[in-house]
Amino acid sequence: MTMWKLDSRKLVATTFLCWMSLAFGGETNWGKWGPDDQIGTLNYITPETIRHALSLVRKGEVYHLALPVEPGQPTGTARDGRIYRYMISTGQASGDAPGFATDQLFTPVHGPTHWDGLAHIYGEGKMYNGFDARMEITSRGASKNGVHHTSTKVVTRGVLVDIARYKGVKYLAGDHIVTPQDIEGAALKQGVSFRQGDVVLIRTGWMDVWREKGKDAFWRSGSPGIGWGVSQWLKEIKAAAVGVDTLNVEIMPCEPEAAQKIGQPQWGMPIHYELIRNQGMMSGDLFYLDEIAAACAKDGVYEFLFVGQPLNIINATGSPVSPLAIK
Amino acid sequence: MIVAHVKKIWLRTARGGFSGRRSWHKVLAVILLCGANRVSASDTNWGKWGPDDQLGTLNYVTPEVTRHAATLPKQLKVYSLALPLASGQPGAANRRLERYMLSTGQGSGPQPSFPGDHLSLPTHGTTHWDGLAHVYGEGKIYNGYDIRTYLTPAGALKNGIHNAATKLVTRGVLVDVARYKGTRRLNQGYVITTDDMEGTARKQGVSFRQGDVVLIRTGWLSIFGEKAAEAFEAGEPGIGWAVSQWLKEKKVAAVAADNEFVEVQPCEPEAAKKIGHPKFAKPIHYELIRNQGMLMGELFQLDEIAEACAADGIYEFLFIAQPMKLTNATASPINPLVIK
Repeated sequence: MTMWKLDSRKLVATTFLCWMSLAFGGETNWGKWGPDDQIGTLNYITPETIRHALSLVRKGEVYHLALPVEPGQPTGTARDGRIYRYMISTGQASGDAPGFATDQLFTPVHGPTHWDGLAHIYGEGKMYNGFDARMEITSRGASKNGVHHTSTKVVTRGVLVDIARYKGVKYLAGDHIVTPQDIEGAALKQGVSFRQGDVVLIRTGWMDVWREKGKDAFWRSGSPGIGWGVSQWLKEIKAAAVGVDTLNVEIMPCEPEAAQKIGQPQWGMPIHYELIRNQGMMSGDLFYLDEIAAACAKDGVYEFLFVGQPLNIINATGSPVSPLAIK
Repeated sequence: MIVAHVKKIWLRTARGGFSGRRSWHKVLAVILLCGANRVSASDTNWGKWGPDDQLGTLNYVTPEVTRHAATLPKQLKVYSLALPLASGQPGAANRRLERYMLSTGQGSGPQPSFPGDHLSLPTHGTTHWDGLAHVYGEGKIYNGYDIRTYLTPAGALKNGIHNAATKLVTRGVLVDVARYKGTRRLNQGYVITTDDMEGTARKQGVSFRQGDVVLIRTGWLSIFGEKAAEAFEAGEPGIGWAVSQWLKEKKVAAVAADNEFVEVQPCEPEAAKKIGHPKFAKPIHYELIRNQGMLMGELFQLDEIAEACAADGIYEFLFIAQPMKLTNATASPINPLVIK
């Protein structure tokens, strides 16, 4: 009797999972690290990962992968003009007396170079690991999957994949979908391979479009990025996170079949849905990769210590980040 | 040496009286002596790294220092020294901190959506670096930049915190003065001495190197939450004039502590006199930031790392606390990491 019960449960579960994968294309990472997990694929980073990453520091050179936090940066239509900083006090009328100059910053957490945290996207009423969006993303913030859970978790190996250089172009075309073949090909040429727990940094060169043609061209027209293929490849190699030098990481406009795979054919950003909501992988927008790319091209070493800790913003859906690559 | 030489000229010319063909020597000597005295009294780092420098003592962090620091972690465990970035946290500036949701998950149907949030953030309102444009006096900030030209409503056009973006990867040393003194927290107004620093370090079995970030634990944060915010802000233990000079001697890259201002409050009256501003309440800020060009880290949460260091007896580690690339800002919120 007991056996029968167990079997029937298994049967139901198997049927359900089959149905899920048929309906939704891929398997999620929900439950993989327990029902309470709030950091997703950052779980791939182990002490051994950190030990290895530290051993990559050979020169003591540090590169900062953030754009300046100031007005006029290419932050996207919804956030344009919302980053500003004003002086609370200056020394202008102080004479000889000493004093303090201070300032206040206004910024959307998703405005400057930032991590999209695991509470940044929901669908079917759920976010990563099945947490209920209505219950857990309230006016007080994201009480599950808040970005602060990752405040010590983003110290690992970084690998730069310079697709633009590999393709011999200044920047990829606006409709270029970065494929797993692009990534494997670039990595092969660069002499680097991938390990569990890597942060994969993909350079499209697209920031030159902003420099040459302005921010409208940078964010409004089609921009290159990853599609369904690379989203599954990242999962396969057990990447901890991904960062790209575009506003959206993913190809814009999206592949219609990717939107179908996630079961949301009308949704314009299926890779966000797949990576953040389904896999529990943070994605890094607006990473500034030109300087580190030049350095990697020069010494031929495309792996480094990557430190991309978010600010410790309690219950936030993302965080401005100042990622460092240390060679 | 310069002072001695100028004094010699002064004495020699003084013997000759105030008239005669050597009196110009005397005038020159007086001028030089005044200048020399001034230099030795404040003895700033202005000009030390060139007239265009905006990094100050972060210049002590060389690639070799960074490389060495990366060899220190043994446990491979990462600690965050940041307070929660939220309202209701310690520090007066925190009262201007707000985070609000631009959209939530409430009222959502099956369709996907992006919740997001917005920050109104005092750059000094949570765990942060005070940058080199934060303190001025006599019309100047660090390295002699004029505030009328460079500290404007548009921001700090010199010494902005963004200059330090890649410089905060170095060796960190924790100096747990509270533990050394066998107390939960030092008393309000307690001036940490150089003997405290040296004694604690000796007991911890650690010494200092050029380019270190020195983290000083007073235990003061524990008063927040136990008592009202006013108790936390009414005064605090911290460093005084002596340790400011000791930090300079050790060629420290930056200093941070688990209190609001790093320096003792109320301040030592003699420290205020030393900087030539007897009425200024934060003379160590003036001395370290304006005169020496040293970043000060405030509101660092050091309890967890202190426990870890006490447990394994290792008080040195890889320290990473890069500021945001906040163009022309006087400070930056940070999430300092220690990797042991």
